[in-house]
Amino acid sequence: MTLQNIENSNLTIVQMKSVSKSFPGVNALDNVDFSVIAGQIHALVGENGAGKSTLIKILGGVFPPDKGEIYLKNRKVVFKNPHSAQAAGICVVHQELILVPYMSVVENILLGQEYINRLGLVQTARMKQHALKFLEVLDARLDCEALVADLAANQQKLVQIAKAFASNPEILVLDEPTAPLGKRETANFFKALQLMKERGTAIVYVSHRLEEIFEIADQVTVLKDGKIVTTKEISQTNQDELIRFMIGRELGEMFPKKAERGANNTILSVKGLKCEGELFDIHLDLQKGEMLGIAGLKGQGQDILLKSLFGAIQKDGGEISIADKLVYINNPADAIKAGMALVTDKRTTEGLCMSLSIRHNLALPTLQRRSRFGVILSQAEQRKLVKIIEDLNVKSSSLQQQVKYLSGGNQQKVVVGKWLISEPKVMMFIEPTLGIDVGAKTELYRFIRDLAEKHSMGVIIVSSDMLELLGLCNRILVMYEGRIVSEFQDKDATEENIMKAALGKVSVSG
Amino acid sequence: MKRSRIGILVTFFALVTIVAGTAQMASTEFTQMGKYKKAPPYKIGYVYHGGGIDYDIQMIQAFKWNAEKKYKSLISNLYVTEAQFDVNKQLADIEDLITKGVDGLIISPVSPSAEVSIIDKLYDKGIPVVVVLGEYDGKKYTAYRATDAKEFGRIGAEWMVKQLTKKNGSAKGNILVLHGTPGAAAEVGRWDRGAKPVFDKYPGIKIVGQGNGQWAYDEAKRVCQTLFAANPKVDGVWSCGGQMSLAAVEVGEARGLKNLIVTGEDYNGFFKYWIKNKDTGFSSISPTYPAWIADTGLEALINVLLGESVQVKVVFPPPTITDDTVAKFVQPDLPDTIWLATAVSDESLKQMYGGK
Amino acid sequence: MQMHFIQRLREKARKSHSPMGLYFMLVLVVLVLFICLPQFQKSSNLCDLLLRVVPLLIVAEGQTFVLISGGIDLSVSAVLSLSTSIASVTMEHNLGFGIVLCLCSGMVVGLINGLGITKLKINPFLMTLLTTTIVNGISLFIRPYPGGTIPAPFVNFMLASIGEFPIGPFVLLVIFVIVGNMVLHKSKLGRHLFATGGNLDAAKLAGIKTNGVLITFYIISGFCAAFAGLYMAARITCGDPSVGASFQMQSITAAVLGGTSLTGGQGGIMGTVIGAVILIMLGNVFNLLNFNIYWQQVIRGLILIFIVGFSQFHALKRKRTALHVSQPA
Repeated sequence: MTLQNIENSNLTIVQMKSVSKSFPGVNALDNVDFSVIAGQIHALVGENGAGKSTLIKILGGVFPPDKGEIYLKNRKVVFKNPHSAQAAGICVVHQELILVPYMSVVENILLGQEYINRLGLVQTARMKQHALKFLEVLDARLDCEALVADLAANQQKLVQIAKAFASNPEILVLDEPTAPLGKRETANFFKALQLMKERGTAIVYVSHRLEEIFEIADQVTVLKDGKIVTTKEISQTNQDELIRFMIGRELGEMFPKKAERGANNTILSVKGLKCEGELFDIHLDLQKGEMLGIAGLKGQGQDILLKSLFGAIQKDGGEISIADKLVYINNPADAIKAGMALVTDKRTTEGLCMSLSIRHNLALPTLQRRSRFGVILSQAEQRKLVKIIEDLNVKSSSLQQQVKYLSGGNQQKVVVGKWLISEPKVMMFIEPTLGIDVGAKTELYRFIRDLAEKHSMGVIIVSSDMLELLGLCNRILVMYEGRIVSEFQDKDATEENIMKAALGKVSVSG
Repeated sequence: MKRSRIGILVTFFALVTIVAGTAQMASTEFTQMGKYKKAPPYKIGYVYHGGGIDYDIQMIQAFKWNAEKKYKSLISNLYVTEAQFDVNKQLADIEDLITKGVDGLIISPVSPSAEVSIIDKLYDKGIPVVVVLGEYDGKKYTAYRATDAKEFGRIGAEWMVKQLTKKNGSAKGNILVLHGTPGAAAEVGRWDRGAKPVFDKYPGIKIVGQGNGQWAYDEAKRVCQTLFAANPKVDGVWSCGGQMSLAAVEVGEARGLKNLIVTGEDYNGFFKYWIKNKDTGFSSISPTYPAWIADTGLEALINVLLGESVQVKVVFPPPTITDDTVAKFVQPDLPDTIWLATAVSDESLKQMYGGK
Repeated sequence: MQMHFIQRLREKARKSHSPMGLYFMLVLVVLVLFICLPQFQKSSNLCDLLLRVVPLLIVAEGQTFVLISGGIDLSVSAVLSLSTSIASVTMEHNLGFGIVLCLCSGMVVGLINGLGITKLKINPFLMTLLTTTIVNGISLFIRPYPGGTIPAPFVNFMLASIGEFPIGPFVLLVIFVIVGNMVLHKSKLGRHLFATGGNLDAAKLAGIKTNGVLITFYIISGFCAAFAGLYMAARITCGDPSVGASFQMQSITAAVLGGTSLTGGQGGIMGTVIGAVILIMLGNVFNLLNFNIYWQQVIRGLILIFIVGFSQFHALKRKRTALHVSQPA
């Protein structure tokens, strides 16, 4: 169980030469050279659809490249399946959680590496001790005997990371690892990565969070449309430059001009909303054409607020009015009829039917509008859909393509699109740009702003990205422990103020 | 026109007497007098093999009715269990009724051999056990009452051979076989040991299709659709049960096959069809499996409990209804699902024991 | 001191694989029956129940493994019947050979099931349904109607009893439960089974040879069904091509009653034992109370819904509590 002690050596552990891979209709990777050095963190950035996940999958042995070679410590290797990649010392932490839900944390961490005694029985005590070590490194505060299914998303991610550590890899590939993690957990995670570096592990780090990359990475490679744009030492570049390489735009252009708020035109009014144990006494008003942001640390009730407004979670009290009319929302169907729409953070499971086509997904919530006697009128559907797709600029070969083949950003556009057809009065978002590349982000921001400005919808956005809220919204509410503790707008809306409020140090509301 | 019940009664009873008389002559072993004597009232258990199909429902009703009428003062509790053709369940049923403390059991076995060991054990323990209705391979029982299932099958098969010879000039032709459920006592008796050996003797008669109708009209119809579709030109069907015969002729007629050579049973629906098509040349034969045989089993059990001696084994050849006699039995104003032998027996019992 | 104990019990219940709620219910029901139904208490009745639980439990155990793997084995009834058929024609000539042949037949069917499911990627429901048809046909070929001989020494061995108590079946029960428990909860193979059923991708990526795991447990299920066939052959002292029929659905019911999930990844031996016991007891109680057979079916269904609904409700509550407790910093 020992790694070679490679102190300060510039040994290239992995080298990918002239790797190409294409799928029907798409050139995912084109003549890519990519190397990773032992004891260094090599970041990989690029728009979605740029080829990052394809690169990771090839490294992980999911499928072989069409052209090109992979060298491990200067020896050519061919991976027949993920297992052989693992055996060679490559461990991938995917964006999706690959854990067994009804097994415990310990069992998951040491899955495939169980200790058995002479009788062939599993030694649970030893395993627990061993697994705990990895959890400690991450300072993960969780019950290691708990079933993974009972954990929150951030804890599950920590388990996945601990599992990767436990396999003692020579090469560690991380795909958006900090997406579900909070600030404290991310900090601990980085400390752990540092330890891995010192042991000589080569690390590939894929992320959209540029600040993080500049915090921990040593090198960075930019991918665009399947080709390498550049590979640089982190010290020799900056965020703006990277973004320019990725999309050719300056950061400043990312956020569109803020919409003018329509005055005295309340579209949504919430009084005394509460959910047992989660939300306490929520009051809020939303104007037509306003973009309202809800900030706060993870899990302070923001998601639950929107979900209970939408009827996806049962509320225990409170009144909701839309356009000054009291509405009774017991389930999403009621909410849709009342004119609300919700785009959640889980687009693959809650936003889309993955095996259906773009067209069917778009049409889903509003089928009865276009049907007579239960039969769907397709022409009307077609026309409306085409317009929406054009507006959204979804990159796909046709409307019939299944959404599971689209990139994250495009999938999100489909999710948004399907709600548009119902012409809602209130549009709500939870983490609208989670895991989406910069280019698609900008388009989405513009689109969301248009919802407010051109379509006069009331827009509520829950996001953990403060800059996003500051850039988009007219007004920002902060939630802490199930309550709205602060409200900021105009010049009061600063990162510092929001942060303080989010931490519970309530300041004067704007 | 109302049918004369008395007329039927007389005819049927005549048949039965002749048959019973013949049977009586066949075996003469008797039970030991006083061996099972017990003071009344008695707790009686009836472990039935089937359940859920029309024959079984009627059968059990008639049995209960008869027991109530005839032995009201002698029977304190009558427990009936239905095994629904599941051997495992029947074993449990027997064990549970013993636990309930019955004084004697009447059993119609699901399979001819699976219950042998448990019934042997009961007999050895001195519990009076009467086996009824079906083909049974065991040797240890207090009494055995059944119609000869082998005869049932043989009669139908031999009649078919005669009909095929008439139609095709010699003993050859294509036939279908509609089974009940493989392994069930009635099936084993009627087909495996009764009809099949007959057909085996005539290589010219080919069985081109077989199916399991499970003694249910709907299932039999489904099976027949498939069988007839695969074999559009068959001469006839050997059927293990009357409700399946009806299904066979109906499916056959729908496909343009008139006057199929089909064996029957005393299912009212089948008889109605028979009468309707007699004038256009349809002919059939109907051995019966009268449910009142179980009543004779009850009678034997009560008698041994009273201390009397009864004949151990009585096997009745199945009373058979032919082209000539069918008109006397059919009941056009009663539903299809009535089994005429049982129906008649209700009446006959009413008449005979109306006084008690 | 009391509080501490109760708290620890609750903690254990929350985390354990076994359905604690089910245990309590079973104890309660048995107590009620003991008091209300004098016939139930009779030692002969309890011995009868034991005799009936054994074959169901053995088959249900094999089924539990397969269900945990995310599949299902509908061929158990056919394998059981085939085992009795083979026994009834071979045992009188050579007892040992007959036993081995029966067990091997079950394992071969299991192997075929496993291969079809892993290599040909046929859905387990469909695959085992196909093998059921084929195996039933083979049974009927060997044993067109019930009969054959099962040698007395074999019967006496399988159903050995001391006085009234069936010690033979009891020993079988204990062996199957202990071994099953060890394999499922304490062995590496068992862990891999849970992983394969819980998340196939995760298992594969962890380097587990999932195909091997699946095939192994289908073979085990076939073995269990064949062994139960040997037992049933002793019970009915003949071969019967239809004796296994009810075991198909009952084994699945027993497993599900005991907490095994139909979607895979969850289940346990003790739960299945309880499930089997409940099913057998139900039948017994119905007969003792002389319930109309049609009411029996209605009540059986209702009880099932109640028990499964109860454990689902319990499981949902669990998730909510856990999420509350573990809020991130």
